[in-house]
Amino acid sequence: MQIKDNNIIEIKDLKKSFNSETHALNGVNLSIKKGEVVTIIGPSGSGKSTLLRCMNLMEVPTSGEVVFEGHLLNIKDKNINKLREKMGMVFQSFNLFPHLSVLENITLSPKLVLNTPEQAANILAQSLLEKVGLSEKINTYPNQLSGGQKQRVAIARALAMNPDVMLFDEPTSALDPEMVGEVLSVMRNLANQGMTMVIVTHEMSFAKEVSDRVVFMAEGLIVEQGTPEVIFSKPKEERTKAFLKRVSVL
Amino acid sequence: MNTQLSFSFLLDWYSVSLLFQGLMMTLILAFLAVVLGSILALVPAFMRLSSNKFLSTPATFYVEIIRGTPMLVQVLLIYQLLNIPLFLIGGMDMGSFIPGLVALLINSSAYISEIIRGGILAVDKGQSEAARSLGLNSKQTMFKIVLPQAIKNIFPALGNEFVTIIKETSIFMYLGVAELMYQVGIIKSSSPAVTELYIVAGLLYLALTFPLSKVMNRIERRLRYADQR
Repeated sequence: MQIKDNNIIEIKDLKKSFNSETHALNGVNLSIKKGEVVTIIGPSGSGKSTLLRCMNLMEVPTSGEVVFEGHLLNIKDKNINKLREKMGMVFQSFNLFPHLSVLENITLSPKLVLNTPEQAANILAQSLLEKVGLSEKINTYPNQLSGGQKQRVAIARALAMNPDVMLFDEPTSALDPEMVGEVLSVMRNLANQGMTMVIVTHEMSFAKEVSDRVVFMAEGLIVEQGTPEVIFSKPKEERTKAFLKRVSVL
Repeated sequence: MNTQLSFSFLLDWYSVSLLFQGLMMTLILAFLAVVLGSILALVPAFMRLSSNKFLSTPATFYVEIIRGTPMLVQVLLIYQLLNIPLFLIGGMDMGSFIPGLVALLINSSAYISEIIRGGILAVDKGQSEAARSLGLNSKQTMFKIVLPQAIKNIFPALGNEFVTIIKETSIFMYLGVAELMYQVGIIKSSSPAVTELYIVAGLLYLALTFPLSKVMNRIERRLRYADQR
């Protein structure tokens, strides 16, 4: 398999249909370089979340290939758990484990999957919580946290596995407006530290500010992609122009 | 209707001890059915949850057959099929107790498997997605993430099943298992106060089921509260 060294994820002719009529992805080709921050934008139903969820096989593609760090992903492969470790995922609805404390949420997978000793895992959790500004919440339970705090813990939890890439699936869409900023600022720091990130978002100004590349999707296809300047200032495609016009009105 | 009720049999030590023994047997049967039934129920529950048709189809058949036929038929059929000769352990006739218990276990495990399956399916899909995205395998995800949360859904329903089974053990009088209704039958043969006897039997069942449902309600509330931590 030929892959360029600096491509961490390569997607080839990816198709996904949930039943015979609805086609979420109609043949997507995309590669993500190491250290790159890529945001995927587009109208709802354009397949951007499905594309992101196919990257770690949360969603199993109907056809096509996803290659991660040179490994062709296959859901039947035992290796899939090992590869998923290296792809942190942050969900729209946080998905913290409600029966575990913040500390346990973060240390669970390092202890269980990487066999990290308890003490080392606790120290790791502590430093990650510091990074997301929630050290004082270490012993609380998810239901005592605000939405923004939950999402920051979820980011810390994903980082605990020391991933090579972070996948963000509309991380601020379920948040009250006043909490969006705190999550975006954690993500901004992460981007500045060189983390490879793929972000599905509706936050256009954030996408403009933080991305190396913006991908515009519609109807299960990539319509246009380029630097934020190109996409937001001089988009070529009519559909991109129409979409950006609509969101800028809002 | 005879308006003059006489509960004088309650003063007769022999009758009272028979009722008490019957009550104990009812409790033992129901308790064994729920505890052993819950363990057995894991098998059809996980089989039905499996995406493998060779596992899920037989389990679905099993559950549908048990739920779709009267327990009386199941009990009599199993008694007939097992056909164990009379032998006593601790004064209990195993020839009727064992088939009775087997039938009760088969019955309760089918119902409880549905409770377990429902409890597992009620856990948000995002929970297992988050676990899998962190590299946990399916077994770790089930035991560390899904089941601990499913217990909160399963436990209250299991309490209701316990109450149901306590009442259903009355069927065992047909086998001659010395549970409450069987003992009522014995007292009835030497006492004219049949109506009163049935009233007392009903009250005794209620004495088991009512506190039990109260306790279950309390546990359910506490579990719900724990979730809001």
